[in-house]
Amino acid sequence: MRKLYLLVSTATMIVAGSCSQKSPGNLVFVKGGAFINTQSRYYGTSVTIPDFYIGRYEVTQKEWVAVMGSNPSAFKGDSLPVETVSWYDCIEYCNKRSIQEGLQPYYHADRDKKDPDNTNELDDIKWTVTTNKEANGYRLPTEAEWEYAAGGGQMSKGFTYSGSNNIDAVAWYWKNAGDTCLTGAWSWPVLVKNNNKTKPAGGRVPNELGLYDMAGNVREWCWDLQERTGTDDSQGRVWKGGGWIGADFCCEPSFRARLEANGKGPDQGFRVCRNGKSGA
Amino acid sequence: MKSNKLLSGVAGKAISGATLILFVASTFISTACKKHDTSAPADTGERQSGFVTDIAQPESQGTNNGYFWSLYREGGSASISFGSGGNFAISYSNVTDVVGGKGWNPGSARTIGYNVGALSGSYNFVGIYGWTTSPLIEYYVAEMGSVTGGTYINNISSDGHSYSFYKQQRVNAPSIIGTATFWQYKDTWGGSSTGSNRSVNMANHINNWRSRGGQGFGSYNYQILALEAWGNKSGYINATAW
Repeated sequence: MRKLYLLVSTATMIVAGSCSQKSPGNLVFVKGGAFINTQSRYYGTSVTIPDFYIGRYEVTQKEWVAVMGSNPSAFKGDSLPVETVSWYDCIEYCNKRSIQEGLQPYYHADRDKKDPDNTNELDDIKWTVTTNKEANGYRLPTEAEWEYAAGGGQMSKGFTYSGSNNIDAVAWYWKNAGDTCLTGAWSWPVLVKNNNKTKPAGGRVPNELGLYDMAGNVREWCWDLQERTGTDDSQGRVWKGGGWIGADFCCEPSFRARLEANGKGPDQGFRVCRNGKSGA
Repeated sequence: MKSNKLLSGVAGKAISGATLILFVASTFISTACKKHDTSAPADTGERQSGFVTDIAQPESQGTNNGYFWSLYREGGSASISFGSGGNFAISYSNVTDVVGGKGWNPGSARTIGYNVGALSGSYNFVGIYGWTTSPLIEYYVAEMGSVTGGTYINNISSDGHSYSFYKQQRVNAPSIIGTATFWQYKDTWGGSSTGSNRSVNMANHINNWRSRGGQGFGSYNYQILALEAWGNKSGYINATAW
């Protein structure tokens, strides 16, 4: 009975979340507006989000290989989310996929010009990346767009995690992403022994918009730059959503953290976005 | 944390601990594969961080008498038991690594009182251990044994003695938020003894970390009075935190 409810509920959310406009591929149309999710850091602010499309799933390894030709992931599997990708890798993927599908590339990445605003000493790439905001191609979500979508947009029910107050219903994170369910406090050696890893995309319940894995599985790169908070801190690109290594609080939509743009990890992936107006 | 170079009796078996750490690190590398070029190799003798309830004790609870507690064991045997309040005892035998203790979740800039009533056998570290997030910081205050490695920053006076502050950056390393580049803050005194009430004024340590650490300070995660021993050590601790 519970399974039937989940099935109906899932189907309802997917239909309600995506049928108002025709969405391309595995993208979901997100109707813009102000934040109604009371859990969001943007709730009660003047920030409004324009209409946009966002991936129903995290980019899978099959999708990555079809565009990039090779698979950098630590855990291999077509339906698993791609990981161990840097922010620069994702910029490159977005443009290549846009070209492959006859869309206008959203980014211009100048590989020969070091970004003068990039102060991260650990980042040895430092491409100067600019945007063509009118392009209809693939791009990374902004942090605000990501948080808006994770919170269910205009359909938000104010859940603690994207799609539920019960983290185990919606997220793969350190406690449940391995052979057995772990208890106690976070420990890397125990995660290794428990064979924690990524899971096939879409294996948990979606959120109000029909988006899967907005909490857990792999963390997702966003466009935004986050400045350092002190002289020995490092500037980096924002990631959201938490992953299979991290603690529960990382899976809350409002949690934000950063990693140097050339940083990679077996829990670092992304999902794509496109502008709403020029969209499909 | 680094093996204890000052107390030879304590450090005598650190090589086995280092082997474990290298195993753990290599396991991560084998799964994480292509770290980017700035990745720093795991330090020999440096545990990859984190405490956990021993998974061999699935019935274990995370709190006792209102205190947060944890125990992690690798190899050999270890058990934790509780007295009143913040009292705990850990017995361990031939462990590859054991870390455990009792404290708070979340931590704070509180003055932590403690009394190590009994400590026998060999160990590497007894002191305060914790995490913050935003920024992500892993911190140690060594009351017995030591935590070194990284760059010496300064000395601070607190609770009647002097601590050496070292900080060490970990790049693309596993952490409580996932793969991250973060700093470890390590204050070492090491001169405490058993059988007397002691205190650790965390505000003094945190204020120094905040002013000299170069990145402010974060939101508190857990914070415990802990023991760590690695390298086939055996021993016993009975301690109380308040």
